[in-house]
Amino acid sequence: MDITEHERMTTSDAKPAERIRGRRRRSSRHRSRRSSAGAALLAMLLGFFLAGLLDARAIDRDVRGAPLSAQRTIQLALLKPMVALSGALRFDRPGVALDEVLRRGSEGRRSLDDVAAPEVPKWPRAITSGRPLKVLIIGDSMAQVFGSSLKNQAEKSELVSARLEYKVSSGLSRPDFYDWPQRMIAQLASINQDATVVMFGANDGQNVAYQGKVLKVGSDAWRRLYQQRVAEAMKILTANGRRVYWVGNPIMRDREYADVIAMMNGVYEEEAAHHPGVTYIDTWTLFADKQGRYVQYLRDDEGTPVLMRGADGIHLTRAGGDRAALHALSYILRDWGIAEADRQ
Amino acid sequence: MRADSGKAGAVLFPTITFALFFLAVYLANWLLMPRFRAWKAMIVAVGCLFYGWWDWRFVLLLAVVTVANQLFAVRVAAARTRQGDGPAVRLWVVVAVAANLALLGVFKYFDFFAANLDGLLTSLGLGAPLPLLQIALPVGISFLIFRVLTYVIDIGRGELAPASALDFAVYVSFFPYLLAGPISRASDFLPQLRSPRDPRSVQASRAFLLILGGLAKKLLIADYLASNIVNDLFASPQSATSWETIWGILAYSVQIYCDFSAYSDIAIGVSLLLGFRLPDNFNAPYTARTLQDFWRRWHITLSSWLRDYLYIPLGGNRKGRGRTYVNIIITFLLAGLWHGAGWTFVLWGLLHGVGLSVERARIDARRSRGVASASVKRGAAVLQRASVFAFVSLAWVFFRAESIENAFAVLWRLVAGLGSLGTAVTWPVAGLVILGVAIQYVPRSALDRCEAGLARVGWVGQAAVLAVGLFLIDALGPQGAAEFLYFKF
Repeated sequence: MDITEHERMTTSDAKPAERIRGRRRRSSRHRSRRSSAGAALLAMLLGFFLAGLLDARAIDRDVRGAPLSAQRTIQLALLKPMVALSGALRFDRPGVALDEVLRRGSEGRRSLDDVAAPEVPKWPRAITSGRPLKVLIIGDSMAQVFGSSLKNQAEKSELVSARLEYKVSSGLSRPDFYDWPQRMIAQLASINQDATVVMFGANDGQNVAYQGKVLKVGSDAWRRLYQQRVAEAMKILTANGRRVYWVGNPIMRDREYADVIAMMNGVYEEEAAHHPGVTYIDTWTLFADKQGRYVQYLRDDEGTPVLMRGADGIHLTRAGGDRAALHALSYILRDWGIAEADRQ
Repeated sequence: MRADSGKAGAVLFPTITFALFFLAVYLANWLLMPRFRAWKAMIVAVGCLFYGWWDWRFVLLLAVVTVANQLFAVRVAAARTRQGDGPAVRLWVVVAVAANLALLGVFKYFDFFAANLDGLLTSLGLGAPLPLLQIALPVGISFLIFRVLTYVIDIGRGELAPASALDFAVYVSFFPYLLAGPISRASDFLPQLRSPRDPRSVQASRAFLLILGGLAKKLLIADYLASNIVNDLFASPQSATSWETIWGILAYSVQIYCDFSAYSDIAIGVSLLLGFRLPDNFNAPYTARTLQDFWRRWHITLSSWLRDYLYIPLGGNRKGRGRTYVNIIITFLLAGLWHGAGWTFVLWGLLHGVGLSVERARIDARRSRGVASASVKRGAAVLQRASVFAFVSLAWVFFRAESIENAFAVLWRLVAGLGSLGTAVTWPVAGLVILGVAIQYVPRSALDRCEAGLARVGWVGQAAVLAVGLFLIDALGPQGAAEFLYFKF
């Protein structure tokens, strides 16, 4: 890579005088392209304002989906006149039209009764390579690595076919941000899985607005509401005898965050015990050391330290995902009577 | 705290928070410019705020890097005035380089080496585990260290005089390039601090085009391809068909270009609005006809850094053919390691090093046979471009993969997934891959005309273009901004 030799030879062969004249022409042309700092400021202010009017609806939707906080309240208050002005001036029309073209936005709400019952019972049944076990893995960003690991491990057998659908920043606390129950019903209809592996909670530890009140995370009222939502999800996913494997979250580095996660894991475990067909799978201890503390590295069978957790102290690395996946998979295979030996 | 709070806490370019932050900085920038010292103090403070937003401890890193390197610079310059190009100068430069690399090493590579050494010792039955420090990696630290090294080394070479401590602090903490470059050299940037920038001469139309283009590349192309084909291919290669694998690999080539060049473009645009020039970082890399040409067009500020501060000091091409190839390979192995502590990056660097050496050997052989480089026919040029793009794309597989096995699992699917076409290659995916390559064939003169046109329409016209552009990017793009890929380097 002797770039030096070539790079410096790019000046043109033009005679010096012509070159200077050319440069002058170019520089005067370039000067005419420049603005004053004030004009650029006006362009930005007006540009942002008009963009805000055109996009007010979408910005408002995004802000509403953010966690409850003073910041969100202020932003919504500031947006209110923008949204009103945008509507009055019909600046919201291009956005509406684009959403229609892209088929975004609300489809009709569906209930569980709209999902056709399968002709044969979902469980128990014989699993063959002709009729493999159809697993759907859903969840938030935690399910991204874990879910693809599980898919990879499960599909080593021809007896299992797996599919992963995760939505970053989502959960069960904020159906106004992402309506998982609706999505679950749609999945039952379109994917018609035999079993669902679920991993939620990483974004759920936030205050929730409910019936005009703000429920503080960890309070009794919050826990009751969360319990209802978990129960609703379990009811949908176990429809027609389907099986559910509800995977709890691993221990987290941040103490306070870990406490909230542990509280939610408790909810999953409790609700799983009340819903036939749901198995709770613990991963908390899988990622703790012998003293039960958070660790970044764990040793593999040969004793080599392997990085299990991401830099944020929350997400799993691929090795961490594999560890959780193998653990979860053993429950699934046992439940459906698939021998480990078939996984080769 | 939530799982996505890391991203929500940072000021990312494509967010409203950044737009507001920038408007405030822009106002302060031009209001304070006549009082240049106050302006400099403000820019340092803004840099600390911007960097500290990720983690306040990172500000300590900025402070340590600034103070230590200014002290080194003063030492080096003093030694130079005493004895010219003597051993004392070299000694101080070596100390400075070693100290900076040690800092980078601790943050970036300690755990990698400790874990590998630990594994080796354990497998030999010598289990003497080293402590794994689990240090938080400061964002963009590789860029920071390479940037400040140009300052000390150039002073050692007598090509630059030490700046005042305040000027140097501005250079270290200037926020547009803080997270992911371009690696603006001290010799490029410091002269711009000699006098206040002229508020009557702001390259606003160019800046607006760079910023809008960058946002579009990032949000409409890179992020779409990532979540619609690339991530799935690398997460679960075993379910991909050959057809999906080919497109997935090409899509990653387009993704990394549209992501990283977008960051550079936005950083350059933002700097222009503040009155500063940053060096170009990309020049249509996928139009290159040779690998050497590719490296003159891809991440230009890194490749020219490696050329001037590593390859040439190693002897470059001045010590015979064999040594030239060795130097190229060493340079690219280190370029790989610069990107991250992992064997995948080392292998990626090795591939490029070997590829460049082979290309070089062929040129040398042709030259020694006395064959002049013949003018290339059109068909041959297309073939050359396609083969360079194919080689670069295959090498990117190692760059993107989670592990060496993962990379080979992906490559294996190129031949093992024949049969059905699969469902991942949709019209939008294929269209965006083609678009991502095609935009590199747009001649510079066309962009130049756009810039001139935008300048002519005045601030009202510019506002309209900004408004429509920003609206379309937000309306067509995915919800929520993802981080830029190059933050992790």
